[in-house]
Amino acid sequence: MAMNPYRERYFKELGELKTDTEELIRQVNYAMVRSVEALIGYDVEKAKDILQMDQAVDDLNQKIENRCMELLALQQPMAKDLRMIVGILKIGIDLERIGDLAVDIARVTIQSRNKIHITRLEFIPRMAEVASRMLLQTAEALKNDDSAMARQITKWDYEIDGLYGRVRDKIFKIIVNNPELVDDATPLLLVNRHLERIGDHVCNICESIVYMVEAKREHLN
Amino acid sequence: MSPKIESKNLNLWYGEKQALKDINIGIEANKITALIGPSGCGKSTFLRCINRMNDLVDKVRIEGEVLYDGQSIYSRDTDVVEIRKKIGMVFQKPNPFPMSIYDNIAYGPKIHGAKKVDQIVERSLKDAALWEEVKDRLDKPAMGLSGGQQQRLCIARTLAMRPDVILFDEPCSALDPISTSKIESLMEELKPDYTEVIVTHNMQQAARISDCTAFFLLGELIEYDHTEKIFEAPKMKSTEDYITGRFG
Repeated sequence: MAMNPYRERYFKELGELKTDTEELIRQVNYAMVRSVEALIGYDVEKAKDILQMDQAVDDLNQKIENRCMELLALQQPMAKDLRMIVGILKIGIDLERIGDLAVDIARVTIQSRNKIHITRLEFIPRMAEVASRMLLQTAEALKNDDSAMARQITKWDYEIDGLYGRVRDKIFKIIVNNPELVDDATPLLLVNRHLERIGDHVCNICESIVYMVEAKREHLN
Repeated sequence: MSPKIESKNLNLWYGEKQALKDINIGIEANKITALIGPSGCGKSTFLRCINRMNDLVDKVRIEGEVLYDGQSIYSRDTDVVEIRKKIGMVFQKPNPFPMSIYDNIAYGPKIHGAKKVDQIVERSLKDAALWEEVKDRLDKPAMGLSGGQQQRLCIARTLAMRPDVILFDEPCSALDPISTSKIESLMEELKPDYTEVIVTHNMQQAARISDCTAFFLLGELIEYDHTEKIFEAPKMKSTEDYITGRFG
């Protein structure tokens, strides 16, 4: 017996939901990486591009969300399909937040025009690098229903948390020693915080993948 | 707590064809248990084993046990009439007797020599959430009721015998969503006093109303668990394939 064409279309749409989400991960990752590049290179134009790009991220996220609602309303998904749709909706929220944090980092660059960078930012690119690797691996884990990989990815967040502490301490020290630099330094504290939060959002995404695949609700961070 | 109904290694053949294979299940009191699975999977056959309705089928052979409150219902000294009185049944197609509404309910109690039949009729119709709709036309033919009302009448007729367990064999499959909703509400209201087992092809219905769900396939009980578990994270692939529509 051939598969019912309505069901066939439904399974195809479920598959597209996943590929769209993988694409959203790539877009958000690109925005984050570029926002840190712009910051390090004092590249205001590059930073402005990220603000433009955020609209595309929001649009794709909206498209995914709409499709989830449509599938929920029209197909009454059950079991792993239901878990997948719920997982994708949750992942969308985390990705959208990561996109917003990338925009916030870009704003720091835009607003810091003509200001002196007060410290060498060697830890910040490293945080972005780790976060980016984590993000791109979540796309793989999502694509392959690989919950073991999702669990593994969250281990990288320890490194981000460690770097966060070091950057924060370093900036505090600069402020204490050079109180006149407080206005320049504060936005960098925010960038540091944003990157740390991005790591947490990636862990949330990994939790959603574990739930989708294994129906287990685990706290991975 | 021991189950209200329990089957142990239950096997059933229609002639040469085995329709149930080693079914072991415990159905709890005051719960709604849904039996789901594709046509021919054995769920209705199993349902009919619970009140020995299969006795009426030719060339049927049953092995194993079905226990009702711990007592085997297939033992020699079981009073089948008494079993069917305690374990009532509602069928897919509403099947009122060609009599008045009143007589449909009164028929069973009268045969069993009940007194105060008027009270039984009123109480049963109230319990079946039909009283308000029919109280002024009790002497009218039951066939004049709508499909949904007829089905509630059949439930009232079952309730009139004061059963302990009610078996529903696709009770809503011929009903519109409004009537379906009324039957579902009624099943929920009956839960504190009765043990209910429902065979349904409507998976949303099973998910909505039941506490436990059993999935049957090719005469076997594949998976039996709390309903939310079955519909959110079933253990068996065949259960998942069925409830997510991955067949064919």
